[in-house]
Amino acid sequence: MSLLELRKVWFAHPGGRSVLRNLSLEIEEGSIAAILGPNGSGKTTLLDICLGWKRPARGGVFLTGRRLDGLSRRERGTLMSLVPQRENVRFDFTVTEYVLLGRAPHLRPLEAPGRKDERIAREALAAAGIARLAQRSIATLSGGEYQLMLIARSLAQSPALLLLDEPASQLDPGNQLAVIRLLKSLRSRGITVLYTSHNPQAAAIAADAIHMLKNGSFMVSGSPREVLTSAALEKVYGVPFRVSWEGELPQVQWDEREGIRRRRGRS
Amino acid sequence: MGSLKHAFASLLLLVFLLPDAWAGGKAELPAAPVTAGAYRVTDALGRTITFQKVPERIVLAGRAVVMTVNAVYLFPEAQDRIVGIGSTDQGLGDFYPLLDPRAGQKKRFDNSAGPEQLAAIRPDLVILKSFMKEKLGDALESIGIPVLYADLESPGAFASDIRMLGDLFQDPARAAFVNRYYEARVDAIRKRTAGAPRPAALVLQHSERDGAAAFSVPPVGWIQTLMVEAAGGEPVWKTAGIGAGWNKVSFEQVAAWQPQVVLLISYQKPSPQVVEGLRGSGNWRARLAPFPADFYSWDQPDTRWILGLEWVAKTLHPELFADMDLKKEVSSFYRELYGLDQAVIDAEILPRLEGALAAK
Amino acid sequence: MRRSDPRIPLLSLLLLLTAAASLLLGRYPAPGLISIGGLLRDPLAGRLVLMLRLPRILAGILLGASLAAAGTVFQMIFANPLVEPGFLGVSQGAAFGAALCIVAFSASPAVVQAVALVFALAGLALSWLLARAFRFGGWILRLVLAGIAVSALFAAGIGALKLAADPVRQLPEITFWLLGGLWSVTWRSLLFLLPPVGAGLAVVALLRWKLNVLSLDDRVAHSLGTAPERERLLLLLAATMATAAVVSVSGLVGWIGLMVPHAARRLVGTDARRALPAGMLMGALSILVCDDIARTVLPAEIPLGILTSLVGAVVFIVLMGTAGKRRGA
Repeated sequence: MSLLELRKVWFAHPGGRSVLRNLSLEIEEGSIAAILGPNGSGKTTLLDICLGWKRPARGGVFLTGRRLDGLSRRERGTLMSLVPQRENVRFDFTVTEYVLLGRAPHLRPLEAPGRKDERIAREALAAAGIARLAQRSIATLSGGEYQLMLIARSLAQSPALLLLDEPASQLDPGNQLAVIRLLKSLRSRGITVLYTSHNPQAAAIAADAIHMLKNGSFMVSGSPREVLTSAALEKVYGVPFRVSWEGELPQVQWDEREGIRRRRGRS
Repeated sequence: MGSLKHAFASLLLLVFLLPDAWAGGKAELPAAPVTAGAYRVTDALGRTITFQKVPERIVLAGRAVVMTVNAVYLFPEAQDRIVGIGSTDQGLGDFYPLLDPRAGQKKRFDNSAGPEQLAAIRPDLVILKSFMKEKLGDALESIGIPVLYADLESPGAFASDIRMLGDLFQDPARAAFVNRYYEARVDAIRKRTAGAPRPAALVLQHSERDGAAAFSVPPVGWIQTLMVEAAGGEPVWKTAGIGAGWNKVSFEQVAAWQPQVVLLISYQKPSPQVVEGLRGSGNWRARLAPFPADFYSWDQPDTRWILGLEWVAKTLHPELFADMDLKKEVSSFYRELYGLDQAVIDAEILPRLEGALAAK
Repeated sequence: MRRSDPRIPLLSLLLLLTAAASLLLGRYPAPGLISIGGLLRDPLAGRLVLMLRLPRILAGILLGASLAAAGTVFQMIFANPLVEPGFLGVSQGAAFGAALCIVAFSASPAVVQAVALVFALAGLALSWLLARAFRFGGWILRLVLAGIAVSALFAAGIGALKLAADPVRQLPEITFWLLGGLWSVTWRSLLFLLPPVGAGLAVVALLRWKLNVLSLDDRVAHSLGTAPERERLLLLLAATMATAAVVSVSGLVGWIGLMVPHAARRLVGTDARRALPAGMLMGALSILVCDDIARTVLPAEIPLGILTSLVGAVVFIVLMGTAGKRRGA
C-alpha cells in the first residue's frame, strides 16, 4: 500500500508560471525514493505539496490512503516530517534541546516534553551518530553536523515518512556519505524516505526508486538501473553523463571532457 | 519552575490581599464616638472629619502649598500647631517667617515629597490642596493620617475654606472676621463700579525664554478673570482662554483686542522692568500697568487676591478710586489679617512694592 | 532535566529575600531600613508597610515579571533580539491614553490607568489591522513595520498633547507618567492588575516549551504539526495583555523587557522552559531593586524609568562586552 500518493497535481506560483503539471507519484511503504531534477525544476515545491505546506491548484495528496487536508495537524506531524535544506539559526539552543523540538506533534497542546520524550531524543541523536554533540550549541556546528542534527530532530518525531530537501547538497563527500548511510539505515527502522536531489550520484546509491523531474512532470520513473541511463540524464540536465555499474553500486558522473569536446566540436 | 513561582505569588497574595481588598485599600479611620470635646469639620471636597481635639502636629504639603500656608497663617493660633511646611518660595522669598518666630523649627520638605517622607514627621493632620487627593491624600489616609482638603481657587471657595479653618481651630469668630474683611472690600468695589463704563482690560503674562519674549493669557476660569470683572472691567481675552493653563497669544492678537489697560504679570523679571522695556519699544497704545508683587504676585489665588482686586479696581478706574490709598490698604491687610506691626510692614513689605505702587 | 539546576530556585530565594528587605526599606522613620522591632512597636509603621509598601512591592514584582516574560515571548516569536514588549504600539498607546486623560479629563490615577489600558490595547489592534493591510514582506515583517508606524503615530499625538497641557499642573503629571513609577500603586490598583497579568503570565508560562517550537521557521513549525500563526497570536496576545495592564499602572518603564530576556538566556540557556521563569524572576528582582532606590534615596520620587534605563544600559554594555561564552562540548 502506498504511504504517500500524489494524484494529478498541478501547481502554479502566483503570477502564472506552472511549476508542476499533472504530476502523479506513489511512494511505497518502506522504500527510499529520490526525486532528481536540475535546479529550479520544482523539487522543493513538490516537497512542500507533499508536506501540506502548499496546496495544489488541482489534484490531491493522500497520506496512508487518506486525504492530506483531512488529517489533523498533529496527526500529520506524527506521520510525516521534513528535513529542510537549511534553517535560520536564531537562538543558540543546545543540540539536545533542538532535537527535542521534534517531539512537538506527540504532545498535547499544553504538554511539555517528559522523560520518555527525552529518551527518544537521545536515541535519535545516537541513530544519527551525533550523540557526542548533545550539549553543544547549535550555532557551533559544522555543516555536516548540522544536517545530521536536523535529521535527528525528524527522527525524534518518529514519523512514518521522512521528507528531505536536498539532504547532502551542501556537504563535503565525507559528510555526504554519512548522510546517505543514515538514510539507508532508516529502512530497518520502518521509516519511508523521500528526498530530492540535484545530484544523480546521491540518488543512485541510496534510492530504490528514482523519479526524474523535468518541466513540471516526471519524465521517467523506476529503479535506478532503469532510470539512470546516459540518454535520460542528458535529456534532463542537458549535459553528457557516464554511467557504469559495479554490481549493485552505480557510478554516475557528469562527463566534463565529453561536454567540452562537444562544445569545441560545435564551435 | 514557573509553577513554583506562581504558587509563591499566590500564597503571598492570599495572605495579604483578602482582608484589605474589600476595605477598598483604605484603612478605616477609627470610628469617632462623639465624646465631649469632639467636633466635625467639613472640607472643600465635602468630606467630614471628626477631631477629638485641635490637631497639634499639622503638616502643610503638596503642590501649591504656599496658598494653604498663607491661608492657615491667617489664624494666629495655628502657628504653633504647624510642624511641617512644604516649599513656599516663589522666587521672592518666604513670607511666613515674618509672622512666626519659630519658623526655623519647622520641618521643611520638597513639594514632591511622598507619603513616607511626610509620615516621618508624624503629623496628626495634613492639609492639602484638593487636587492632591489621589496623588498624596489617599495614600496618607490609607496609613491612618487624617487629611483636610482646601480649594482656595476662587473668592467663593476661599470664603468657604476660611470657615473650614475656623471650624478646625475652633475659632469661628476669626474666620468670620477674615471673611468680613474680604466681603466688605469686594462689595465696596462692586458698588462703586456699578454704573461705570467698563474699560477693556487684558491680563497678560510676559515670559522670556532664550531671549525670546512670549505673551500668554490666563484661562477663563482663573481668578484673574474674576478679578477684572469684579473690579468693573471687561476681560477681553475670554475667547482665547480656552486651554487649561496659560494660553500663548501673538502680539497681533493682543493688538486686535484693543485693550485700554494691560495688566502685566511677570513671574521672572520684576514687572516694572518689563513694563519699562515694553514702553520703550513703542508698540503699545494701551496703558501698561505691572501687577505688584510683595512675596507673591498679587494675581494668584493667594490671600493677597484682595489686594490684587483693589489694585485692579484702582488701575481700571483711577477717578473712581482716587481716594483709595493702596499703601494704606496694604498696611491694613497685613496688620489686621496677619498681625504685623506697622514697623515691620514699612521695613519688609512696602519696599518690595515700590515700583508698581509708584505708578499709581 | 537530568541534573537539577539550582539557579532558578536560587533566584526565587533571592527574590523572596529582596522582597522582604524591601518591606523594611523606605523613608520612614528615617531614610533606610526599619528594624523589625521598630516595625512591631510602631502602629503607623505597620500601616505604612501594609498599605503603602506591600502593594507597591507586589506590583513591582508583577511589573518585572510581566515585562521580562513578554520580552522573552516577543524576542522568540519575532526571532529578533532587539524587540521589547511594548513595540507593537502598546507602550506608546498607553502613554497617549494617559496623556489624553491627564489633559482632557482628570489626573486621578485610577482613571488614567483605565484609559491607558484601553489605548494600549487599541495600539495592538491597530498594529494588527495595519499589518493585514500591508503588502510588503512576510507576516512578521509586516507586524514589525505596523508596530513602528502605530508607535510613531501615538508618539506624535503625545507631543501634541504635551503642547496643549497646562505647564504648571498637567505637564509635570504627563512627564512623570512617561518616565514611569510605582508611586500611585494601591491595593485597588493591584486588584486591577491581577486578572490580566495573572491570565497573561499563566498562558505564557504554560506554553513556554511551545515558544521554542514557535521560534522556528514557519515551514518547519508546520512540519512539526503546529499551527504557528494561531499559537504565536495567542502568545502575543497573552504577553501583550499583561504588558498593557502593567504599563497602564506604572507608566513607561523601559529596558527591562529588552535586557532581562538576554540576561536570562545568558544565565540558564535559550530553552524557554528555563529562560522564561528565570527571566520573570530576574525581571522582578530588577524592578524591586530599582524601585527601592527610586523611593528611598531622595525625599522625592525618582521616576522608575530613569533607573531602569540606567541599569538596562549598563547591563547591555556588560553583556555585549563579555560576549557570552558559547556552551562548548
